[in-house]
Amino acid sequence: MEAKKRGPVYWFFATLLTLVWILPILASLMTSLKTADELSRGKFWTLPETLTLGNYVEVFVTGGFSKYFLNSLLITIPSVLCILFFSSLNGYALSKMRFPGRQQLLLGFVGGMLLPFQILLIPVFYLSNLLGTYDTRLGVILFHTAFQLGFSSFFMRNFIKTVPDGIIEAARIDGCSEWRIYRTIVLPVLKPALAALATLLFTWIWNDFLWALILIQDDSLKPITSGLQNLKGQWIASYHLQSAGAILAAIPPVLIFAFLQKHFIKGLTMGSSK
Amino acid sequence: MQKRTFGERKAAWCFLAPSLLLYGLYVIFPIFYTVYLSLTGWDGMSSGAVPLCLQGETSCFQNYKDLLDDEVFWTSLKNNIIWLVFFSLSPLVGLALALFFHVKSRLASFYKSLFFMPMVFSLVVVGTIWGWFLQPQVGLVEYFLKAVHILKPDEEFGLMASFQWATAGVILTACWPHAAYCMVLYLAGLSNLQKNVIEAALIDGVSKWQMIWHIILPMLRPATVIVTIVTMIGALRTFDIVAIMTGGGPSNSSNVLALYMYQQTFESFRYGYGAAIAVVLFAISLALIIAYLKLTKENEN
Repeated sequence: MEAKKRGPVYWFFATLLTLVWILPILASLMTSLKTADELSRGKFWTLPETLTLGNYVEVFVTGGFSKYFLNSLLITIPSVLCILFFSSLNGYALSKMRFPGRQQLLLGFVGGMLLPFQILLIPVFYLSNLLGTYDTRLGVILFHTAFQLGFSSFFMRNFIKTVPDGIIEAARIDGCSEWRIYRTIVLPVLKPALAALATLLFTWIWNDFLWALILIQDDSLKPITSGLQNLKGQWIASYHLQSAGAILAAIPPVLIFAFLQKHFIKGLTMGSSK
Repeated sequence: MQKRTFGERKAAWCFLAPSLLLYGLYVIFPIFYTVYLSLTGWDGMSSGAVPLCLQGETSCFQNYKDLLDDEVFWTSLKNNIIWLVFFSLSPLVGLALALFFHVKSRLASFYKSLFFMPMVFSLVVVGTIWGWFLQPQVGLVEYFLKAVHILKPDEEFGLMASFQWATAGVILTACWPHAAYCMVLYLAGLSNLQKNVIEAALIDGVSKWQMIWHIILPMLRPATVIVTIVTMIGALRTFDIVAIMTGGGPSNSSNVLALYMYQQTFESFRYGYGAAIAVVLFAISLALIIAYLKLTKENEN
């Protein structure tokens, strides 16, 4: 079926469909490059008369997006690193070590993925106040790390399961400690899985809106999703600035996706193809 | 041998300990605590959360009883059901797109990448740009409808201001990234099809639709199970996009349980009541997922 060559009619419709699909992206890009003057004359959906990067500068400087952007990075990167480390440890324990309660633990991790967040909101808010991590980036990092461990440990366990038992058994008989087996045998073969998981986690955590809303109050600590919401409320009907803000918020995940698409898709589809 | 399994056990718990602590604190404990809070009238301020029946109320379940008389709760629940139904358009669109673009070619790969793009956008980004496209007077959609003469020049496209249609606008918007996600999952399923079955069917002279309906779809079952579950959960826990696009309005007509729970808890400071809404949402999700998994298991047997 796939080997069959497609004719010009197919490509015509494929091109048309793709254009319609990405029209919202093109339209936002276009508006973000227009001057406020042009929009005020009601020219919303015509090609820009003059191109300007001024909107991006304004959003970045006056709109505070430089700090929101940095905050998003400072929340996302440590969370991803922590999750990768802990979930690979969990994955190894859950797939290659025998201990009672293993199956139940795995079920607990998988089940967490399916929770509606609302069931966690109040206690996490309360707990953060109690631990003194409310209104800090650390508080958000801790929550993301904990929550994403469910999916990530399951993901890692499935991957490490494919490592032959023989290698690990042999190392154990040689008296290798579990930590050394993890570091010298498991971790090196884990690279593709870590890459796939990292791209997914980066995107999810970068895009989070709810948890920063609950756990951070100080504007100078807010991530870019909250920043975009602020901007929308502050500059109502300034669509050129809103578009510029939306595009800035979308750039990092889009870059990750553009350059690491294979890893991203592999991570996303791991469950559905087996 | 004895000693080795013991060492293995000890190592396993050492490896798992930090995660279990975090996961227990932030994910497991909160479930039970929310259930407990739903039996209290906690306002978030007073020193402790005490069950309602110890505070002079006749029943500990007063929050749940109040829900039954709460019109906004019923509107939100109804909207979540509408979400469940119409959000399911995205798997259908995703499947159609996957079948259409399941072609080996460089250009098709490029087009597919463009199709996947909305999937990596934050829903805040999606809601911001679509919220404006759907606006009357300045929106792209009104401009387009006027250009093709569906709307008269003096008419307005008032979807998002309408009590009946605001939810539809939000759901359609949410379908854009979600259909892309479903498309990815279905494309992965398609690339794992058993080629010999398809070739045999081709030799037998099966028509295109028969092929899709009787051969390809059944083989895509594993993908369909995942797609259905993520779609159900997505529809039930939808929050970001509603908060950004309508804030639940106009006058709560597009509210959903997740957003209403947030408003009651963090805007009206009714923690106990908010917890009760969260428990209802949790129970519905659990029931639906279990029912669906049972159904698929029975079908397999």
